Amino acid sequence: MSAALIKKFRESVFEIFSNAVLHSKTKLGIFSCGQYFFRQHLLDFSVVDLGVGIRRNVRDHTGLDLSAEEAIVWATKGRNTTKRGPIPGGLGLKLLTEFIGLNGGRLQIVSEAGYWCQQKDQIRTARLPLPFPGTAVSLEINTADKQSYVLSSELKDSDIF
Amino acid sequence: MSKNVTLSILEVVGSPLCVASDDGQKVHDRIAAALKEGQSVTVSFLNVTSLTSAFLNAAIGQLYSSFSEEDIRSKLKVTDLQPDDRALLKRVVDTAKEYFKDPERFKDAERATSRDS
Repeated sequence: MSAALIKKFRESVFEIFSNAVLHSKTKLGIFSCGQYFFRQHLLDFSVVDLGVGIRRNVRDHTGLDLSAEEAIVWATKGRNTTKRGPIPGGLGLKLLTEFIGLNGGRLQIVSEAGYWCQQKDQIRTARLPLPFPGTAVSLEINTADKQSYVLSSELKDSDIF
Repeated sequence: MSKNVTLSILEVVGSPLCVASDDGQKVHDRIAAALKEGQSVTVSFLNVTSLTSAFLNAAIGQLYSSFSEEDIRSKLKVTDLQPDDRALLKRVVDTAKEYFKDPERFKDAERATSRDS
């Protein structure tokens, strides 16, 4: 894997873990596993919590009564966040979807009865017949990707604030 | 003339992996303390190898709950950012500005800040 891809992958995994820590309210822990399929140039990594699920989090913090899969769609949109208080949010899942779109990989999210999947830049949702008691986020990346992931436009430090 | 202080993210967090919200909170508290004393702050990301939006939201985005955009623009500088991390920080800052435009969220932020002080 290129240095740029390793950095992006590592940061994506950390973003997923952060989401589980910040949002899941899990009392039973956060679990992860992964596998590298070297012949297919695929690296899979899953992070699972047994927490409250996205639908309930969205309902409790925003009042929106969405279906389980609609709640996942809502959560992946930039600027949407259930956070209240002094620390802002709403970027984590959006960043993941952008990375997967560029990498040509796959991102799957299961939360309660909601299923959401992005393959390259195509998105599919479904209702599961039996709900999963928490949230599972699975990342699959194309390890042959050689992109630099650096914006072509020049951004200076003085442009940030 | 205000005093200028330089803060090393690596030194505050103790690791080149700057990914957890709790570590971001430590950085925020150091920056906020200096800004409250009227100091200018330069935040160095030298030797930081991983950043997440969760960390940056807590470290930098949160500053917009207590300080005006003008104050932050005039008194806060960043340095030693890799190009993709600079782009990420810019997005975190833009998102934070939008976040605190919501009056309900801003009230929650003010309530939380006065509870902690």
